[in-house]
This record gives sequence, C-alpha cells and structure tokens, in this order.
Amino acid sequence: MNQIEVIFNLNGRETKISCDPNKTLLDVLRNDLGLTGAKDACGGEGECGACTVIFNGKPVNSCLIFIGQVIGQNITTIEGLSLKGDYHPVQKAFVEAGAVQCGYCTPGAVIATKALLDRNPQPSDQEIRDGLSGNLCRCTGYNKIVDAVQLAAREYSNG
Amino acid sequence: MADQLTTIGKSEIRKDAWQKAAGKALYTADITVENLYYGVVVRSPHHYARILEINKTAALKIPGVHQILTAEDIPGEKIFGPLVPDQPSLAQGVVRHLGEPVALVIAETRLAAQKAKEEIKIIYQPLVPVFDPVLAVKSDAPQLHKGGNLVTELNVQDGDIKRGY
Amino acid sequence: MQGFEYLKPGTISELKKDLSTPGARILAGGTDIVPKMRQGIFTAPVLVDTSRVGALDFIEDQGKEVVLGALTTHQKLADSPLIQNVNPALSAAAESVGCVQTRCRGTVGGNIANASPAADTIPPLLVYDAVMYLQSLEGERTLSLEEFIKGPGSTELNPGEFIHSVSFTPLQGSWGSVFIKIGKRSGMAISVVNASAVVFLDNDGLISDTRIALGAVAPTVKRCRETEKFILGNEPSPELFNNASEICRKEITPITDIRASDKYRIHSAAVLTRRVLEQAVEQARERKS
Repeated sequence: MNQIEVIFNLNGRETKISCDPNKTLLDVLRNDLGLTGAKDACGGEGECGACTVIFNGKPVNSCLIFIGQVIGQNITTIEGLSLKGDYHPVQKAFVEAGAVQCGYCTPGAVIATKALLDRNPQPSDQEIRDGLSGNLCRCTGYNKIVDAVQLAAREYSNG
Repeated sequence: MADQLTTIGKSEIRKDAWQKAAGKALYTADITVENLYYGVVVRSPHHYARILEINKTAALKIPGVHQILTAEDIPGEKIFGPLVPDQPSLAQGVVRHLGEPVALVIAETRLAAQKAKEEIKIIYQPLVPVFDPVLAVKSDAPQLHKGGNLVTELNVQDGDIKRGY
Repeated sequence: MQGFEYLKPGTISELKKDLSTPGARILAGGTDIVPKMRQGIFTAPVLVDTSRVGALDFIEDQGKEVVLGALTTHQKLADSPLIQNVNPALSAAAESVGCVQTRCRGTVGGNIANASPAADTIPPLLVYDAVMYLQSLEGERTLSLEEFIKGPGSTELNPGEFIHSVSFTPLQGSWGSVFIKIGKRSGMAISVVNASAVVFLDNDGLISDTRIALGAVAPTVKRCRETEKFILGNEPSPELFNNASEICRKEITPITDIRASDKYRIHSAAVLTRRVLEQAVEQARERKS
C-alpha cells in the first residue's frame, strides 16, 4: 500500500504527515499527532460521537474519515479550543454546569456544541437535543449537558 | 457559623473537569508506552463444563501474537476469593459459569489478539448446570466445587424479640 | 482495516478514468463504507475518493426538474429552502438521517448506492418518480430510481459507473408530500419502518393522484401500488385511510431482525401509511387555499 502525504490545517496550523491511506482521521490524531482528546467509544462505527471534530466548520465523526479526505481542509479538535491555555466558553459552561462526569464523551460533546452554537446561537431545548443527538453519554443522563449548552449559549450572546 | 462554611451548601466543581473538558485528561486508551501489548480474554461459552483440550497451535501462528496464557502458566496463586478462595484467575480443567476466563491472548495489536482468539480451539464436555440457589444446596445437585456448593453459612441474630414486642 | 490504493480525482473526467481501474470503488461521505471496511464486509483494492469532485455537489432548480448532485450531503438537503419547498418529504427525510455528524458527511448518492431497504432518502424520491443519471468512461445512461435498486445493497451500477445525479419533477396543483420514520429512538436511529406519500387533490377535493412508498418492510423500498389504486378518485376520510392501511399490509414482506419483528413492522407500516396520507392531504388542502 503506497503511503500518502497529507497537508492540512489543524487547529490553525499547517500540519503535514505521511501515512497509510487506510488510517482514519481519528487514528492519525490519536496515534500520530498525540492529540488524544477525540476518543473512540464505539469501535469506530460512527455511533457515539466521542470522536467529533470540526471539519470546515461542520461537526463530523473523525472515525469515519479517511485521512486523505482532509488534504487541504480545516480541522479543529478539542485541543484547538484552548490552545493558549485558557478555556473556550463552551468548555467553561460544561465544567460549571456539572456536565462532566467520567468525561469520555465530553470532548465530542463540547465540539458538537461549538458547532451547534456557531450555526444557531440561540437554540431551543429541542434544537440542542437534535444538535447533540450524535453524542452518547452514559453518565449524565443528558440534562446537565443540555444545561451546559444553554449556559454556553447565554455566554455566547453576551459576547 | 454559616459564614464559616466553605463547602457545605455550595456547588463544587469537579477537580478533574477542566482537564476533561480540555481533552487533556489521560485515559488508559490515551497512553502509549514502549513495547505495549494488547490482551484479549477467551471466555467459556458454557455454564458448566469440563475442559478437555485447549489447542493454541493455529492461534500462535497469527502474526503479532506474543503469548497465549492458560492456568498452568500462572506462577503462584491461581485461585482467589473473599470468603473462600474458589475463583480461578483462568479456568483449571472445568468452567463454572458462562464467560469464565479460560485463556489470555497477548499480541502486538488488538486486531492480532482478536484474530488469535478466533483461532484457539477449545474442546468442552458440557455438564448439567444448576442455576437456582435453593436447588443448589440440595444434596442431589451437581456439585460445582470439591467442598460442595455452599460457600458459607452465616447466622445473624441480635436482640430479644419477645422483650421488644 | 484492509489496505488499498488511494485515488483522489478532482474532476468528473478524472473520476471516470480512476473508477475504471480494476477493483475501484467509490468513497463519498464514508459513513456507510468506513465501518463496513473495518468489519471486513466491504472491500476495495482501489478506493476512489470523490471529495474533491465539486462538480457533483449541487442542488439545482433546472425549471422542469430539480437535480441533486450525488455528493449533496443530507445536511445540505435538509437546509435547502428549495427542497423544503418542492419536496418537503425529502427535506424531512434528510433531516432525520442519523445525527448531525452523519448528515454533514453522508450523501444522497451514497445513501442510494448503499441501497439499504431502510434508507431514508429513497422513499421521498421514489414517490416523486426520481430518475438516476449514471456516468462512466463508456458513456452515460438514465433509469428510474425504482429500476436502479435491485435488492438489499444491490444496484444497477456497473463497475466503472457512478451516480452523477438524481432528479425529480416538482409537483403542480394541490399536493402534499410527507415522510415519517420510526426507529428504536428519536435520534441517531436506523428506520424500523419509514413511509412517504404524495397526494394530489382535484378541484372537488378528491384524490386525483397518489404515490406511497414504504421502507424497511421489503428487500427494497416498496411502492404500494394496490393501496394507491384503492385510494384514487375518492374523498379523503379517516375511513378511507384506515382501509388503505389494511391494504398496504398485503403489499409488504417485512422480516424479523435485531430492530423489530415482522409483526411489529406490518402493524407500524399500516399506521404510518395512514399518517402520511392524512398529513399529505392536509398539506394539499393548505396548498389549495
């Protein structure tokens, strides 16, 4: 299998790697780039959302994307939300609302929330649940996550 | 007094929430070390059965497989248990519940371990199981352990009912 | 995950060439293919990534027809005001596929090519008599969506051939088009049963034309033509739709699988048939006034 060279924009920086084309973006993030924020909680079937990243502004499951598909594209991972050491409003909201328990779903849910609020800054309760329907959580029962999104939405609108 | 309370009546933020929200918290799957191997457990498909043979030959040929361990490979104590040590780490000659660990495959990748697990050939002789604790105490029940099926008997008594009522 | 040779054409003519490589298969959004490759169910010695072929990503109102490029994502379909107007059933179906992450990657071409009996975008296209436009190095051809799907996971696509686009004619007059699906949960669910219907009302309020499609109840999405014939020419009423829902039971052959039993599917298909017809009539009446 011939390796491919992939150059893409990762968290605002141009990133270059060479690897087998049958690696997914999730594989590369976790194993080659040391970015373990995105998680695999369903065996790479795109069923849990723990691997969610932002791809050209849209939330996607990184376990379903072959690495060649990101050539020349923009990817933001959970690590990209606190690059300078301070926390993104959505991260703060999750922490303050008590929406973090085991934390395994949290990076995916935070990213999905950012994508949702970027698209719809004032989502209704139903729109929040629809927007995060791809992010499974075994711990919280989802209500605190909805609270976190609502808190983040208020912070977003306050600037 | 109330103005001296620093925790009671207040909402506390989890100590690890910030790291988790930042994607920086390290879970087991996030940690890589040199010479890391992956283990997969081979489990019994029977409720109660004798193990007649474990054949690892084909499984050991799978590329990346390092070892396949069974009970005989365990140095030291092979059995544990809180009240009575009767639970083998890996089954010895007999399996006593569905899913009891029989062998441990160790390989360089999870995939290799999975593949090897499928290649292990274990021959079982299924025995008649017992599922009901009331039946299990009877003398004619299948005896799962040398000392019988009764782990222990505890008699709990306290107080004087006649006096109390 | 199996290894493969990875090709990434940038134009339709490059795609035609790459796809005629022996063993070449198409990669679009990857939401169906990647898990299948991981499980070893789908293999491709050569994988042709179409993500750079922008010419296949479009939603066009061409007057007589609305044309969807094969690479149009479900999210784009769901967000499109044009589709919400001309095919509300398709808009609803696209919105219901998986979750937002799936919708941002999965494509209508991929959904059709995957040919699951439970596919959500197929019933709303079938009731619009959608047409498939296929291309290859050898040439091009069109055929109806109904002819295109042969069985579960099986289509008319020949090696080297790809879906360029799918088109349908916007409806005229007083019409309603509806899609409903039920699954084991309200989000991120594969349809246990889905249904789509189009109903036309004439000036007297009678049903002048209707098309009904049921999914996940047969090897392919089923047009329920007996049920359609039964309803034609009649005045919409609860009794009519109850009777219709009984007839559609005989037109489907659901199986029992991990998601539901055949009995549950038969019952649900009848209920959904009644519901899509009722709602389509309501829509048609609103459109009239």
